[in-house]
Amino acid sequence: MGSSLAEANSGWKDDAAKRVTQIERDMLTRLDSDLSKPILVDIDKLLGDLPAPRFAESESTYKFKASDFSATPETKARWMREMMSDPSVGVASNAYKKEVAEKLRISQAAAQSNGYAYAPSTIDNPMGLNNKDRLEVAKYLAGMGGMFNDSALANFTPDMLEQARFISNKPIVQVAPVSTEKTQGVGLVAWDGVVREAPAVAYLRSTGFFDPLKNNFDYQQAQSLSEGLVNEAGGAVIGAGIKLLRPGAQFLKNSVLSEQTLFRMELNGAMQSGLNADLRASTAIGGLDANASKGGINIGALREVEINGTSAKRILEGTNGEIAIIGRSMHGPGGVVDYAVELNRRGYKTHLFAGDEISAASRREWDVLKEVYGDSNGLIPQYRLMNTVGFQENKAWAQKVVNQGYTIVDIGNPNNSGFSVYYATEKKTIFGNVKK
Amino acid sequence: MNPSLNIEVQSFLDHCLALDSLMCNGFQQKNFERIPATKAISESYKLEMVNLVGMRVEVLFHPLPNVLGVFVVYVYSDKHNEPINFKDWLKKHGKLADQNMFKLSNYGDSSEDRLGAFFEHLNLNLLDDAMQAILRGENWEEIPFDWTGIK
Repeated sequence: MGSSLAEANSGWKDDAAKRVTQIERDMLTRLDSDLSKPILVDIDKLLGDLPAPRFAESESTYKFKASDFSATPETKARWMREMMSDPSVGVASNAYKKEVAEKLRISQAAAQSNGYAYAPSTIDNPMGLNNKDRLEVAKYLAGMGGMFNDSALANFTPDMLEQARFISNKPIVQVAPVSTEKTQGVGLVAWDGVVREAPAVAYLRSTGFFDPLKNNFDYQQAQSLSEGLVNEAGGAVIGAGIKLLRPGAQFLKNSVLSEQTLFRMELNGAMQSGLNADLRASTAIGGLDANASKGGINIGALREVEINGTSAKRILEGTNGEIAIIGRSMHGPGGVVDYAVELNRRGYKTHLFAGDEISAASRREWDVLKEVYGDSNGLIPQYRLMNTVGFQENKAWAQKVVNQGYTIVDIGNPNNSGFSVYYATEKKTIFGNVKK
Repeated sequence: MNPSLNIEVQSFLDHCLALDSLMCNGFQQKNFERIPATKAISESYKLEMVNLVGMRVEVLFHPLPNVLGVFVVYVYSDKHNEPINFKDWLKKHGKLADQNMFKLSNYGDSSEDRLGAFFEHLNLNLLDDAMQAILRGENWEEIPFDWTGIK
């Protein structure tokens, strides 16, 4: 058994090396074909159809109304919002997909006119990539052609696996939006008055593939609706690029679409959080007092609890007298465990997604994934987690605490950690969005 | 020897059951099973061993061609809900000399060499005094589930 494994492993090296060479060659040709189709969006028209921002007249009125977005179904905003909120759009084959694909044509000139630009795009270099980067993309697309499918990966040596990971991670960066100016600080989408990290930037950082700050990535704070929209459209560009691939590329399409699902969650969250902020009701609405007790819990007092700078960012009032806590981090300062310990000390009964909530099957699956796919810190690529038992258990737990009437405290992300598919799912399940 | 097992899995089972570090604390086989593939990972094999003081050790073998297989070792106690992941325990105590310690590709030239070398290394680590106290049920440590920062 042992010698056959060793022989087979040796054979894989030679075989894989040959295949890499051949597929790189093939995919460079295919890249020219696939990416020669310009991906352009009529940004001017898109922006022209969006409602202008309307600012609050008082605390009890809205900056936007939901109808501003939904009551004009013919606007270009509709398809973009739908695409953000419905991951299946990316893989659906229907007239709507064609409509989206048709409209996903980023106009470089229009983008530049808004003070925000993608890298120059030409027929010869449609994504604005230099030759080296095009080669990287080619390698990436080679993966989509079947090189990096499950059975092939199973045959890879650890070194080859690392190379494959490196290759397949890099080009996403190249099609992200870039600005013509450099600005210090974190990219923010502030066009609607809501301060948050730009989804594209947040996504790139959260993947661990690329940190715009560390890599001196060119971007700027979006100061207007148009800039914000161009920024958010970055994901659509990635999506459009994937749609152009030939059917044989299905495996990695799915893989990347999983990444896109995360990305869309983030985009959708940004959009939703904007709406939520706009639709924020005053404390007087409904005659409820902010300090009123509900389910035996004094919400006002709960809001006052602060542990080393960590406090409730939002609270969903429950009825069963117990508190479920969510947050970006579990352990350490700013984590839900420390916060729960303090609440327990003050007499609250708390509930976390931890301990018995994590099944033995989930632990085994997680630990195997960590061992096989984890980096030096054990960090597992998040798209691999979405099919896990643990992910489903986490989602079910979030639904359970809602159904069973827990008062749910979201302590947010005090450490400004990267995107977490678990935390995003908890927020989406409990609050209906993934607001930061 | 179980005729339904392939040679490598049978060897895994044999090596597990011969670990001095467990035998000396009265551990005996309780259960051995194949864990079917999930949506996220392919199949694994799990050996459970128990002793008379309510301790349970679970050794998971996940065969994989690219790294030739990985192992996860858990220590359970009847008195505590969460198990100790032995790798996390080693890491916490600064005793994890090699991040790839639980990868079979880290050992030997042939399959049998690799398994032998891995289990010899595992045995030595399990013989750590602090871990032996845990395995005898005299002590326990809370090792939080390692979310690796994702959660």
